[in-house]
Amino acid sequence: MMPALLPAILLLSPACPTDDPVRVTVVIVLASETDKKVDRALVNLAKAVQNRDPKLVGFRVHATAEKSIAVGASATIALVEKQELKVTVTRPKGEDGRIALTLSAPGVDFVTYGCACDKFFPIATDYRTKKGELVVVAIMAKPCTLGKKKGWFPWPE
Amino acid sequence: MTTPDTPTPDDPFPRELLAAYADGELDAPARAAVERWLADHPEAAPELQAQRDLSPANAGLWERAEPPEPSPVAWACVRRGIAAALAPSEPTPAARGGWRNAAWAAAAVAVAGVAAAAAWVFLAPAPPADRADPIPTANGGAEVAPHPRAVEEEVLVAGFAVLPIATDEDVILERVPATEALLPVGRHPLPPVLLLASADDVELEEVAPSPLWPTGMPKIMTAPGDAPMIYAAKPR
Repeated sequence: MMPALLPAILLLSPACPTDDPVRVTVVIVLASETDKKVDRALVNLAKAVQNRDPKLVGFRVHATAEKSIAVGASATIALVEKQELKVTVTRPKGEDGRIALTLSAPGVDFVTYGCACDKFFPIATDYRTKKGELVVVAIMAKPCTLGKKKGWFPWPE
Repeated sequence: MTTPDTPTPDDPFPRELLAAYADGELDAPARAAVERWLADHPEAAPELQAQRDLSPANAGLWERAEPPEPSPVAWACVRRGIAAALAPSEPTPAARGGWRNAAWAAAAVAVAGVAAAAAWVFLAPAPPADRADPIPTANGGAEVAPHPRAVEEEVLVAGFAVLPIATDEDVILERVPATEALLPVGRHPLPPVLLLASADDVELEEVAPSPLWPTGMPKIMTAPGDAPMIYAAKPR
């Protein structure tokens, strides 16, 4: 009886975080329609967002967060004004070089996507702060290399 | 005075009780005993009256009195004694016994306590001006008392000749607010410029049905030569 049920139990079990953790970086950005200042790190992001909404002219980094998340595990990152981003590492880096994440953010509910390592994928949420700034998050995942190599790839130290 | 201050075989009544009686500090049995003694010794009535006259003045005196402040040297002695008692020492065969270690530690604390008490007794009565650095010594020279903060730091770093400082590899910054200030240690997680994923880098795998986007939002929006992104913001 028990041996027969074992495969079914294993299939129904949630993903077990046994792989090496994934380092997830989240850049929290506030986009403004009035303040025209654009942080230097956000020039590419500003261009991509302005292609969707030209009214957004200012982009500034609110905070940058990094977490090591095991495969199958989740982490919650505070954005602004009690808004949160929940990140689940769905799949480690595969043969296609992508890491799959499942995200929940204001206006974005359980979206799973795969993205190449070391590249930021932007998400414009539907949340605006009390000052009217739009919350945009840029998310990047890569295999956790803490203690294995130094400095940013591909950016030099 | 006809009434002695200490009990004697002829007059065993302690004078402290009379003062406590005058101050109203005795419980009922003691108060009754004093009243019986006073009835037998009417010559003590003036002494009782004197105690009652002194009580209000004593109360004001106690309220104004402040405990003596230990001097920096006294504090230094106490802290050194504590540090010496806490500092790890080389174990010796004779000192490996548990009760012997405890006895040595207790002795060290006791010595430190005696030293602190001695320093307090000899140095605390000095007027406030004498407690400032430097402290005059008997030969006319000046002994510079250790600064209280320096003494405190000496205790905090006990066991470390040099404080070990974390390197960039030892520190993981989990969240850094937008700031122009330089980080003293650790690598800033924000790269110089965000490198966005291209259309070939991203693939939307699953979107759970949600009331947040009844019309099919959000989708990964792509355009030729443009970085894809999920755009859930509603136009204003």
